[in-house]
Amino acid sequence: MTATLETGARRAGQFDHLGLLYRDREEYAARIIAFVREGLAAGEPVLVATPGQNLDLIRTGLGEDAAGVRFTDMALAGRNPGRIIPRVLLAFAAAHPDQRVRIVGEPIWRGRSDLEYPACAAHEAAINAVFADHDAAILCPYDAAGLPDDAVADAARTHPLMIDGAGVSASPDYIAPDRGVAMFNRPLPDPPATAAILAYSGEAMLRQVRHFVANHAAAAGLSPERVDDLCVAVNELASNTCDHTGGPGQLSMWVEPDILVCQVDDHGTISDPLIGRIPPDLASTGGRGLFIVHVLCDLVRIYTRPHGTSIRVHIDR
Amino acid sequence: LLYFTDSIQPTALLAGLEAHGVDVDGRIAKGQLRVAPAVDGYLSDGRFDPKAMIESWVREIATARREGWAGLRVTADMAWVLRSNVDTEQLAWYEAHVSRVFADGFTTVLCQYDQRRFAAAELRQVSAAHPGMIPVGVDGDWEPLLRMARTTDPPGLRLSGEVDLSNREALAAMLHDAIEELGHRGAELVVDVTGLRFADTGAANLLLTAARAHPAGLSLTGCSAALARLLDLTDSISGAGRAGARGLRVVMADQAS
Repeated sequence: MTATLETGARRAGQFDHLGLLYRDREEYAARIIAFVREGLAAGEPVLVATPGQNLDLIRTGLGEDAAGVRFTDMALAGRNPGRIIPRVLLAFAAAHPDQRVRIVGEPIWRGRSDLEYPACAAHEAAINAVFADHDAAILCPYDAAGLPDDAVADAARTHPLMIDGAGVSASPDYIAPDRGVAMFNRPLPDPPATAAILAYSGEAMLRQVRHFVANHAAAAGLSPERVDDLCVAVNELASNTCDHTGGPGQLSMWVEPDILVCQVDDHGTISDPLIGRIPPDLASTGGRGLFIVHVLCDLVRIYTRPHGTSIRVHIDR
Repeated sequence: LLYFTDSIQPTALLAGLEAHGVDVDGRIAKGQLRVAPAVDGYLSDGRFDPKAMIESWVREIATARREGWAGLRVTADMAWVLRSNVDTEQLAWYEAHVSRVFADGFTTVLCQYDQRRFAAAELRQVSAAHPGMIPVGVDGDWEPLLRMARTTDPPGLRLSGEVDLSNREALAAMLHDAIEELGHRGAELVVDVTGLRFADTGAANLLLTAARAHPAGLSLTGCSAALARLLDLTDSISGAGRAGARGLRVVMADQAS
């Protein structure tokens, strides 16, 4: 690894996706600040996207150098991990065409729920496919002391290069992005028995789908604006059922602490694992609807299999 | 009222109307009611010519106006299609584009498609070409999902109701035809969406595409906050980096002059 720089990133002209396993705040700050400064020294645009309190730590540590860095609160921008690639990573790369960009992206933290986690890990795997042809370095910090063992093991599957106390090394566990994304295509728990259910079939029933969503969303205490957002999102999911499967679908809605949940089940299969995670004009097949669902909702989980797809969306109450 | 029959003979229909208390002879004598076999209307030269058919509706409407009627109602049993060599594409094109002629606030048209006789795929395609669909077994309170009316001052369209996958093609054809007509005049197309309660991303994309396609641009009046946000969102995908070049002017509902 002669071309490897001190922080693990390599020379310009290629894509580096680095997983950082840290054990305490000091190690976290030291590694990230070194990575950021290396980019600044090379004249690269640098983005730090981590949850808010970590942003403060890095900003303070950088001192005057912080002025040259763009900061984004990942707890907000990455509330739904499915929109980090288009709205955070690709947006930053697009704002700096013809330049190598350097990004710290922290999508997984303690407090991510069990339901959120597979969407976060699938996001990490998808980065390898989406950025394959980009001139960029993305460093993803993982709290090795605080995260479950599975999440730490998955980091080594979704990052070709790993950094830990022993230094930088190629990850022997790394798997190709398509298999990586497929690995996190995991079944969803059953909706609760108390869920409100609407069976629909055909475009003519879309108005009933929207009516059903609006009623339950308003009853769950959503603001009028979020009721509209959810109607648009669920209408897109049900439209996909009508458009792509020609068959019936089922909508379930229920309330959990702090969130309203909608799940759409139909008999279709989603073949493109990146659909909805990259802007549709870059995608090979459509996907505008699902992309907008990702932008509007606070979590989108997709479980697709032969003859069946379940899509669950969360919206904060 | 013009009734094109197919599955039943005109005489049988008239007898049925009479049995329901309609003064059939009187209405016919006044020129208020006409019943004819659909093939006479749609296959006048033995074949279906969608453009000529649309032109014949223009004449039919002009005649009804000239005769001083308050409006024209048309209903047609479309089962004749099943015996013809009209393909689905042709039929859907006709149904979508004929809306331009019917959206005059004067004419109401009910196209009858027998769910048992038409193939499901064909019905889906043809149904998307109509602004609204009345399902089987619905009562008298039915309203079309979308109403589209053409306006002349300013030149444009007035939309009310909801646009989704079920009627997207009808809106697409309407926008296309409105732009085609305005093309040479260089006037902005004004679409009044005050009464539009819902639009999906496909409809937002249609409006954005129309705005780009028309050199003089497109103005949306009476736009709701929800539609404005959806347009921005849809535009941020399809027109990344081209903000301002989208040819779309949005006047919000609460700032309309």
